[in-house]
Amino acid sequence: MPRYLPLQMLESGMVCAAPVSTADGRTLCAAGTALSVRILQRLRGLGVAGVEVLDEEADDPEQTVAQIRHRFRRVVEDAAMADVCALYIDRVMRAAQPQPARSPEPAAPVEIPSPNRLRARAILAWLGSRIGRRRDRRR
Amino acid sequence: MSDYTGQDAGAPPSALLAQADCVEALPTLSYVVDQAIRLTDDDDAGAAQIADLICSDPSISVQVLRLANSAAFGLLHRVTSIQQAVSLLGFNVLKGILIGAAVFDKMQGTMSDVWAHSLGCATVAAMIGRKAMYHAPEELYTAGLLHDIGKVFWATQCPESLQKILALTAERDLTMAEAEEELLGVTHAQIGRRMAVAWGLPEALAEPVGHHHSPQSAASCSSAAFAIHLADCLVRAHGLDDGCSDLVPSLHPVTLQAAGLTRHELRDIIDSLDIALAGTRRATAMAA
Repeated sequence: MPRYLPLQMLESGMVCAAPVSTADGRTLCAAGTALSVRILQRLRGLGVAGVEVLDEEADDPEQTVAQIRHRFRRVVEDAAMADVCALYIDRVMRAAQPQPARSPEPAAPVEIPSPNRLRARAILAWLGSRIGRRRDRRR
Repeated sequence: MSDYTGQDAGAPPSALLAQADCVEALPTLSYVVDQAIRLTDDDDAGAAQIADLICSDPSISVQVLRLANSAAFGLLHRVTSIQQAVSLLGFNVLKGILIGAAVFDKMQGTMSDVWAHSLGCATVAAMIGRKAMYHAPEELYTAGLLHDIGKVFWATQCPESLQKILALTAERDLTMAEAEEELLGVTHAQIGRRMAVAWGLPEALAEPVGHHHSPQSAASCSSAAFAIHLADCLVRAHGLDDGCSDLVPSLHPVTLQAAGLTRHELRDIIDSLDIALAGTRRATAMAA
């Protein structure tokens, strides 16, 4: 869950959860930008009060679900409202699931030339140089 | 029935509504906002004249630019000048934004939760408008911004009643509208509608404000009323309530259909609320 932190509480390495922009709409940092010391100095210079950053410690999903159920306590008997409540709980549970680890990108195959191919290349290079010399002589 | 009967609570609903009709009794707007609203009603006034007037108040200018640049408007280009904001948004939306900015600017110290909830509702209403291909999502944004303006009336004109309403919501676990209905016979939505009309806002804004708890009874603009009804519910369910009650209100059975959404689209909106409302939290935290 993103949370808003005033500038003095920000540390380098934190990641912006939403774009940081000036009142006239000029974007200073895009969402996803990792805050560096230089960026923090720039934001301080421009008078930015604080930034919405990604919370590293995710909220406890069980607690969040309990809060949602508590908000819906008066309408949970209504089937349509129970369905809306389920959509909120589903969102929390999906967000809490560990992201599947990405398999490493398969490395590009390294071409190992065979001895025959090396020989063929050497012959072609030799022929090319011979042809070039003949042309030079004719000129 | 409740035992709560106070000075304000004893006033008949018609007297409270009449009080909301009287512009002088409403929270005072700054000179600049008041004049700008008058100019939007003046056929001879041009966008440049209104923009010049707004520019003379830096605080309001910043609020207007911030709201106009809200991602909710989905404009292709950033609004960098007041003149551009006036031209792009149109007079009616501008008028609503000016009133919202000015009223909540005054109340932000005491009603910051209502302001945060209203901004959130505005953002979600515009998301609904875009998903449902509503012809003017920026109107929905403005209606969302103003939907709880009746609560400002309680805070400024009837503070004793507000205390009793809040006490009743806590004691009986009621929504604010239910407590108002029981205690005073009139809700903040009805008061808000009268205020919107008194300030000269069009029906497209006044109706959704007045019927955000009872969209089925809106005489016109019912799809907008249903959209605000839904946005209010979704923002509360997300935890951005108005500080008066944390209850999610019941949705009218035909809300999704009337707002022009499918269940799949509703799920998309709920999934994107974290990102969409991050800016709202940032704006209100900066203002606090």
